[in-house]
Amino acid sequence: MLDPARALADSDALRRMADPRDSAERRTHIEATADWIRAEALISLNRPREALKVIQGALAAMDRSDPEPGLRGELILARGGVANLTGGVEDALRDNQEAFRLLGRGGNARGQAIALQNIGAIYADAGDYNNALKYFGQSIDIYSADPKLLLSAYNNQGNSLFELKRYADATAAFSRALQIAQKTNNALQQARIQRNIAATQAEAGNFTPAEAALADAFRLSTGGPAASSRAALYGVAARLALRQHQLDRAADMIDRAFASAVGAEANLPMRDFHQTAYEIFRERGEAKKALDHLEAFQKLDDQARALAASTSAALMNARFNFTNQELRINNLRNEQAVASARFRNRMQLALLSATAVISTLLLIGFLSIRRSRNQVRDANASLLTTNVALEKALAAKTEFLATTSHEIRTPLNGILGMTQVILAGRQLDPTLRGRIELVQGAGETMKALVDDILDVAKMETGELRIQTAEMDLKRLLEDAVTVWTGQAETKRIGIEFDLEHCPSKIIADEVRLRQIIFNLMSNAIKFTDRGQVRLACFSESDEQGESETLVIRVADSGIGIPQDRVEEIFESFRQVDGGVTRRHGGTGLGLAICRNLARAMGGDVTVVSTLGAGSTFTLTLPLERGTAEAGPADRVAATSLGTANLLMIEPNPLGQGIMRALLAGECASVQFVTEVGQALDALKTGAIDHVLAEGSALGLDPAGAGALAAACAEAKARFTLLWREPAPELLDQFTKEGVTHVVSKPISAPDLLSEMNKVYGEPIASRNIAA
Amino acid sequence: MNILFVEDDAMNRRVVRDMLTVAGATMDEAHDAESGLQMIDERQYDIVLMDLRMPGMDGLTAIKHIRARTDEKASVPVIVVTADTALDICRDCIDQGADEVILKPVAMNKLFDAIGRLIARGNSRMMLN
Repeated sequence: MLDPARALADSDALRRMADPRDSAERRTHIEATADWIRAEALISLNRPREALKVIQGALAAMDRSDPEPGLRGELILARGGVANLTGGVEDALRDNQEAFRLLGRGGNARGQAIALQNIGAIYADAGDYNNALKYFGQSIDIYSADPKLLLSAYNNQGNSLFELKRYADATAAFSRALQIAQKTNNALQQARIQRNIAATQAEAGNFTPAEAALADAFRLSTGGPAASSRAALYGVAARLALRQHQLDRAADMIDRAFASAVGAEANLPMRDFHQTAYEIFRERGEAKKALDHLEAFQKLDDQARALAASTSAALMNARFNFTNQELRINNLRNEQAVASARFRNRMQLALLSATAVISTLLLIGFLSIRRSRNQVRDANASLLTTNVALEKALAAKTEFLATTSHEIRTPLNGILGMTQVILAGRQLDPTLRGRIELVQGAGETMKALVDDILDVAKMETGELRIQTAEMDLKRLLEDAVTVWTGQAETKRIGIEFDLEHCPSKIIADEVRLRQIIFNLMSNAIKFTDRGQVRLACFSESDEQGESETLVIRVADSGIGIPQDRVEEIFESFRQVDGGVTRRHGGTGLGLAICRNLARAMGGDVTVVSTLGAGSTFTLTLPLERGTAEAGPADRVAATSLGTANLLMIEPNPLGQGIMRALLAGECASVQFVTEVGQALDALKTGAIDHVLAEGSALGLDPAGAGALAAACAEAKARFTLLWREPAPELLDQFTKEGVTHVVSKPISAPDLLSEMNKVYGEPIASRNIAA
Repeated sequence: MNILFVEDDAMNRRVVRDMLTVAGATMDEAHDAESGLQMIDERQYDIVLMDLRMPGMDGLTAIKHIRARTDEKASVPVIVVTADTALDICRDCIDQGADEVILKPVAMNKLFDAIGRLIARGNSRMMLN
């Protein structure tokens, strides 16, 4: 944009173009375009804060699902530019990345190239020149049709290569930039690039081409707008002279540099001037002058390094690649240590040579005080930066873990999903079933690990929440015993449980409580090779009888924990020794999670252990009893469907889902099985009042149905067969087998329920057993 | 029963499709939210399953679009199926108008229970057949 004032006028004109008769979408678009032009103009006029307001307004006005990501991308790119001007590194990086993405969708390669160059410049500011080079390179790859952009990219490349002391590469990059500048006949740019070439060649020791480039730069900057860059030229000239040991000329040039730089606001060239001046006057033996410049240099260098360090720390937080975070933190720390050490060495050397000339004791004293003060300040600054960076790395780690968890869940969905589908098939070869079950078990374990890792991440950032509701503790513990009995049997250890004094209904977070108990049980079985695992639950009152504590204890006769390492097992990623980890597997997160969860619920997990004899883990929680706590009652026979414990044989899982929803609240409890055999097993427990069988589960087999009807009668349970349009002759056969209550489908749910309720008016009927 | 699954990942679509096959049900599939919305326009669905993170429009926005309809399709039951474990993800989905949330990896019984609940809720006088 050549003339910002004109652009502002254009923006106003464009705004007026928005016709009230246009669609709202089109008006928004025109207004947002006007705002964008206005913002760019304001940025050129160095009024970034006003620009930011305009951009935010335009972005807010545009709908989230704007069909044109291009304009949105331009606005965000402009906002990134503002953030860069106002020093908001994280905002700048985020906006440039977002703009890159949006502009890519809009096919705007030029805009993308700008975004990439901006990102590169941010990295260069942070002193990460290798990454900067990567982005500058990508910018060139993606779009090379705009000479101005290309020139800037090559020049930026050259600067980063210079900092990396790759002088030959830097010269090549600057030369490419120079060619473009010559073609476009831009004297200001040519002068600047020739100056860069001169500086690079000077450092590389190629004095002849350096002198030529410098002469050209001086020639190009006589008069016109390029004159203002003469200070920097004198600086390079001084440096070039110094490198050739032309000390008088060097001194003359550096004096001119300072003279022309009066009022220059940028620190960086001044810092370089002071450094050059210090070296020149040291060579000439003018110690006082040398020291003055050294101090000035040191002050500016401190500022520059602090700026680079904070940019670097901010980058750390904003990078989209989270995988290397911790590595980078270590690198940063090392780099800082090295940089501080190098700086100290340089200071000491400088002071040594200075003190050799200046014998005034007073001055030495003054300098050393100053030096140690600076060192303390240096150390504090670097410590602060490191702390900030570490905190940010921790946050980044959490985000990384959350992302990883999401990414692992997707393939797990394939593994666990398909094993469920295969296992749902009824004609599965038993050998194959066993193998698929093994895959499923491994998949479930993997899911548990991912959940564990995510939990730890949430705990570290305090994101974990406890959600309490009324729950059935006794049933939860019975479930745990059932689940782990199989595991225990394969290891030939016993499971004993004492739930006699266990409160039944309590207010707690069922999911988290289950997690703790299952973890403790799993650990106990894992670390026990013979003997038994005992689970006990009871409550304790305090002396005043005001509060109650719930105690759940898991005791094993396993390998135990050495006394001095008992607390270590509660730390993340710790098992007692590496050998144990190898033998027993696991993330080593389980107990850390258990203790954290228990503490979040106002309790704790503790352990008492004897090496070789076993461990006892105790979970204590403040006990809040549920309102619906009922004493142990003898099971009485159901007198209506509402009090019945119902068992339904329904092979179709979707059918189960629908029936579970329809029957919820209509009877005391509902459970589902898929096969007649499972129903026969369940009837033997004597806890079933009513069996509802879906006809397809029985096939067309009257004998099988008869056996089921007989088992129901034996268990004093009602039996209802739900059948789609039974053929009359087949129905007769079923009736003869004792299946007396047949309800035909289709039927509405309320009608089915009332049909089922009817059998409670009758005695339990059977062909074999009289009521 | 007409079920629509809006999900960009082909494997995830396959998993749910095969799970429904076990129950003798089939489903239509949309590869992104935009085409999902269009299919809802064109057909009548009993259940919509919706992923959250998709290229282009995300699932929550799609649900907002569905709920903003002026016809009876605005109340089609929506089950979110997501691998997102962020805190409050369930509450966010319900706030946006989802009826149920299922986390990936999808547990088959949870999927069918959720569908069953929504089918049963929608018509308490539904015919079992």
